[in-house]
Amino acid sequence: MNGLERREFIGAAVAAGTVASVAKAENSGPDVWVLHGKNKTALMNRALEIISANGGFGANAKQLTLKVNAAWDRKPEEGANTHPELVAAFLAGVRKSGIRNVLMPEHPCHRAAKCFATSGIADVAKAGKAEMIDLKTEQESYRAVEISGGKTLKSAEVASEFLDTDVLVNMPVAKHHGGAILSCAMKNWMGAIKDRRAWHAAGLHQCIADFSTFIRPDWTIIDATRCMMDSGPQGPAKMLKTPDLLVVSKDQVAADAWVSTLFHDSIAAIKYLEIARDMGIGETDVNKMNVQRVEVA
Amino acid sequence: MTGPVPKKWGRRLCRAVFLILFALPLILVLPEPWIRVLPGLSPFTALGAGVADRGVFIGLWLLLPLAVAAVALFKGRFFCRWVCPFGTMISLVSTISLKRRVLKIRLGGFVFWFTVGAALVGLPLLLFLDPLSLFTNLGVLFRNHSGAWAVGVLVPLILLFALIQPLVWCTHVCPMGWMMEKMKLGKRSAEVRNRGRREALGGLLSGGALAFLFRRTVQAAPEPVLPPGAGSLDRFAATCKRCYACVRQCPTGVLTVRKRGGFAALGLPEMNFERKDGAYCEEGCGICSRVCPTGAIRLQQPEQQRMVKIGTAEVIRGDCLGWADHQWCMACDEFCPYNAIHTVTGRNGIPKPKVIAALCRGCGACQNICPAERGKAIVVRPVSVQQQARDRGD
Repeated sequence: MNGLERREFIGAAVAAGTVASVAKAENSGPDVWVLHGKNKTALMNRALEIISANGGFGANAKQLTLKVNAAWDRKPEEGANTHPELVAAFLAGVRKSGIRNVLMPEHPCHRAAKCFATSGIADVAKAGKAEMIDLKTEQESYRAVEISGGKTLKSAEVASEFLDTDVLVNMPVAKHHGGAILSCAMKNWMGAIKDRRAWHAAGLHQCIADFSTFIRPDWTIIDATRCMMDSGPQGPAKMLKTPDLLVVSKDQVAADAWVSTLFHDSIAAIKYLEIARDMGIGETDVNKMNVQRVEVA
Repeated sequence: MTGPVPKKWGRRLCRAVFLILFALPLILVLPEPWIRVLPGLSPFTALGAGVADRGVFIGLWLLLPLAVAAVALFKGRFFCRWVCPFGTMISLVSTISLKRRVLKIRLGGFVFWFTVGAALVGLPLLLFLDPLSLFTNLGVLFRNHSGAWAVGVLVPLILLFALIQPLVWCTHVCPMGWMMEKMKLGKRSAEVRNRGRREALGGLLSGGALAFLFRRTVQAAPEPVLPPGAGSLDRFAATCKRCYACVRQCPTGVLTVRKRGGFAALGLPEMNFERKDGAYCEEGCGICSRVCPTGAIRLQQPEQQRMVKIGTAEVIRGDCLGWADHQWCMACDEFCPYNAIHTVTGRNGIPKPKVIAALCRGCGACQNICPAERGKAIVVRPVSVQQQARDRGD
């Protein structure tokens, strides 16, 4: 899928004035919903409707752990962290669905107090009655796990909030990344582990792919409302694009592969996606996915 | 009949309150002004650092030492007897003292004039004998800053000495106490005046001469990376009184106390980017400059601090996972807040880091995160004079 076709689609949808046009594709691959719209709250509300119509969070779910990207001391508009408006709408929707306990652990790169505040996520977490956990200072919850499907990464210390939960949701921001080339859903899990240096030392891309064999979120919601096209992961980017998209899927590899088309012509540019394809971790061919486009006014 | 008793207890209560007030910031993390007040009260170090730096920053904070000095004009050692928390500690120990008179000569005047003489040459040498900074030293001694013991060892020694001879520090050595005692207005006998002259002359000359010699040893190897606002090693060594308010308050823990170096640079605060995870000089922070009581770390507004160049990162290719091991790492690039790491991709397609010196501020985020196994493959080298770095973007 190239950029021109997407633009044509978006243009057609707007011209038709449809509130929500759903184009069903004839595919047996994983569902990937691509929501377009300027209003972030409306985008997330629509995403929650789609999630709810496709199995939701499970009948008896009481506890949800949400992995946002709040790793950088950067403002929402800079695109280094998940947009707080999306997080706010998500938390509000989740509470309505009956889940009362939401945890948001994050192992940030900058000092947590600054990241959580500047990103605007601390405020919306508080308002949404979710608990943010600073995994940089609170180290008790890390638990060693075996990565049985890993090639290079055989074990990792993972914050147990991500392991002992009824529902696991990954809500990264899509952005350029110096080392990983693209930072999105699979890369986002580096904020759930204790020792990120080990991944860099052992080979970043293989470790990112290996960990994805282990961690399988129930839902992945990718914030591509504004994307740093260079100078990632911190920015400021020379080019900041505003695709105004939210990408939802149960298959985080598929979601990443679809989002990668916003940045690159082929997944060959992103090593960990190639590895994921070769290891069969998830669908990386956008033509085999069931991509459903939704226009949200 | 009952008159003196309430006064005695009133003074004890006053000293207890000040002791607690000033001890709290040593234990807890409290607002910045609270940290700065105690070491900022000293007229002795305000004078020493001011003379050495050829000027003082005129601001509200200057009122503290001026107020203490003004009280001394009329009440002499009022501060010692009612406020000084170090004095209170010494008084407490002195109550169980052996009461032997070991040190007979009073050194306070000599120490004071020595420091002034040395300050005139540009290196006050004995600023760390300020009783207030000796007290605040306690805030870092047990927090994994082993270098702080270079000066901090004086605290237990002084207390031990007080066990033998009561209050000996306060009466015989403390330069700040001596200063305030002598500031009190009033007539003095010819004998006292003559002794004062001898002390002043001897102190000024020996201090000046020694400072002249020691200025050479400031050039310490390896050169330390200094906190933003320190200016240069010369200037910082001359104006820092080792109170360690900056070390105590640094939010990332990158500031610590230097372990090596000659006497002039001994116990100086410096950056150590490998102290712990996340230890680097944070963008737009400037906390160290706001708590520094002597102006050794010049006040930095967040926007200024963000661009003060304290060093330049250098890649050691032989140790680098990208350059030497052909490993896909690039952690330094990820953590650099200034986009100062340029990616070089060779024929094998593996990215390798290169530092753009003009954009690098020397914050050390790269050195902190570098996961290379043979030792850090990217290290920050200090600049000799701190300047504003160029902003990113071009």
